[in-house]
Amino acid sequence: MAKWPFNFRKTVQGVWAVLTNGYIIGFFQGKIYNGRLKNLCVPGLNCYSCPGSLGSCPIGSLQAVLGSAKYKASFYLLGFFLLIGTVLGRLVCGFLCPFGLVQELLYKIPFVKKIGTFRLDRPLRWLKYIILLVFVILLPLFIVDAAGTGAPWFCKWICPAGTLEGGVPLVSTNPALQSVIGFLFQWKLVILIVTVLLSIFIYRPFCKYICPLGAIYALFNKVSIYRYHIDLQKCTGCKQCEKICPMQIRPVREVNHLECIRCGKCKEICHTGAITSGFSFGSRELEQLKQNKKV
Amino acid sequence: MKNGVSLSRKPLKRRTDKLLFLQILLIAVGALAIAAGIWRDEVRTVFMKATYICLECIGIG
Repeated sequence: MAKWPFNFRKTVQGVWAVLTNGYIIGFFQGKIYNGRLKNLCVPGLNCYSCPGSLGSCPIGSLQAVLGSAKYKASFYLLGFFLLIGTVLGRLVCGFLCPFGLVQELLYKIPFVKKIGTFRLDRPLRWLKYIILLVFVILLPLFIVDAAGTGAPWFCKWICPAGTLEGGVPLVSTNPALQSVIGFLFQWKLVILIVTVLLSIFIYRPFCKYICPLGAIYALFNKVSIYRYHIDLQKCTGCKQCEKICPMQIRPVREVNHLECIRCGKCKEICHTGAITSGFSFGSRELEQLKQNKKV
Repeated sequence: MKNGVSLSRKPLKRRTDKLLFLQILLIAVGALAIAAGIWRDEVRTVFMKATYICLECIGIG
């Protein structure tokens, strides 16, 4: 019997991407889903103008509410980020983001040299927080038109997911849209092409340096219920986990780091089982304390 | 040290209790915030934006 060619995480990523973008007819008719599921946000970066998208993009939704004339804060999105972030942290990035999956698949393309880290790698990781603050929050809030409405600055000027998932499929099937494309479409296409090319030799460059949604979930990694645990008694210090980490983290010394997307590669490579993960309120130390009390 | 856990329980227990409290607090605040957002009809704004093609998002402007 043929073996399933994908590992568990890849399977979850693929199934989730298909499930949340299951409005297939939209791709053929050049239209988007407008049913009630769009009241709900999906956890990952998934443009709501993707013809197949069944849910709303949380970053796009946040800008929509902040940029509206009626609201200057979004409790709905704040609550969404608090819930998802507290439960999962950046597990969303590792398992539930379609655009992350696209980048990972591009990284599988063989290339002469794959770049792990470079001089500007660490400082550039902070760029996504600046993009979150400026393009997602401040600009839609304060740069408004005569009606008091702000534009979705991140979606409009930066997001390559919108171009890939929404722009390309819709423009290619809709002659009316084709007749009005201009500089903005060309600009976004350039950003998409650069992201695609970078993804071939840098692992998830958009997630590392640009994604404001990853920046939000990163803030919860240290406190999320899904978390990684290190058993220092089992760790031999071989550093295989550091070598294999695609986000260039030191899993033992920097457990639940902001940059950890919970891909599980460190767990797989650890031959002593020192690295584990799971859902646990409080922390593993609390469970061990309880066990110690019983002994 | 026993099994990687400090036997000085008071500071560790205080740290883990704090984390547990924070997690519960964040979930509670999150749920309340979502309820507040629904009550304020923010979901309608999200829905209206999501059910029309976002011309800015796809690069039309």
